[in-house]
Amino acid sequence: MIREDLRSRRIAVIADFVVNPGSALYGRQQAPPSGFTDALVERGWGIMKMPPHVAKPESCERLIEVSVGDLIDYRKNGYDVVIAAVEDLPQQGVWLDAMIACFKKVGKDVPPIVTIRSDATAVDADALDGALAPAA
Amino acid sequence: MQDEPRRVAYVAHCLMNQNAKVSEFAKCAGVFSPLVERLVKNCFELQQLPCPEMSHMGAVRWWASREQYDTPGYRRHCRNLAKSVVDLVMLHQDAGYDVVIVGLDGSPSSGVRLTSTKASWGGRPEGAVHGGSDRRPGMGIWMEELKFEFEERGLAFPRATGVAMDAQDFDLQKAMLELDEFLTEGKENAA
Repeated sequence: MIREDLRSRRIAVIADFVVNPGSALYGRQQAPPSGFTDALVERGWGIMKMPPHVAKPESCERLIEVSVGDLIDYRKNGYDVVIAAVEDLPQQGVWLDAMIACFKKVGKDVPPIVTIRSDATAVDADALDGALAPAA
Repeated sequence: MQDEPRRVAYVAHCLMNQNAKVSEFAKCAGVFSPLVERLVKNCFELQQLPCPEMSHMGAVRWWASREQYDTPGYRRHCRNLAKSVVDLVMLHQDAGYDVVIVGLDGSPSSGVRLTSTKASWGGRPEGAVHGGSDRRPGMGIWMEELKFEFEERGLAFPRATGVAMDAQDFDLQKAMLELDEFLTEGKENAA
């Protein structure tokens, strides 16, 4: 018997900051995830959350590399991928330069990038829907 | 002023991204929201573990049992990822966080209390996976290597549980009751 598989086949790459805006890692008080993140959940996006941008780069290199590998494989198999870069955070909150370097290293196109701000709301999730394009 | 201890949950990758599941195992579109809602309600921050199966064999991998993943190469891959994860856990612990791990019970890699088993799988896939794998108590390979990395650094493996979405008899209500108990117990201990 074939089981029903409910995956959405679309993945949003997002910053730790928009998931954990009140984290002590950012010197802040506790706060719930942003309306932006909630909207992605409601709209069925799978989330690939990148490591906190305040972590040591050497602790994140391997995680960034395998994340990019996963994204390449998703796109090869027809999944949609969008990166939500946070314009007012270092490394756009998603280690963007390191991600782009990983894509270039293996000669693959970088997926669509949408720019948001660190106080993004549910409305900003529209931009991700708008960025959906056929896989490379 | 922050009164309660900070808390963070490191969750199996697929609990936030069901697209990483092996075919026929995605039980929702993207994020498994019953888990996230409970973590937020209990004031947990959220960290996502990498999925070593996805990075090792990709999105169109075959079903596989714990025995098939139990190779030196796959364990090495898991251990490399574990080094980065433990670095991040230490970052949280140094900032005063209580850390828990939420894996995926029934998974050959991410199971915490329950994993898969089928020693006979291998070779020609056609027809071989009929009926699926069985389940047995114990950790999957990824969770085991993560635990080993903690131990090698002289650190205690964080309190951990698993959501049994890969169990053959997955019962959402029962799983969420167990999770509530796990999260509440931790809150009482940390307070």
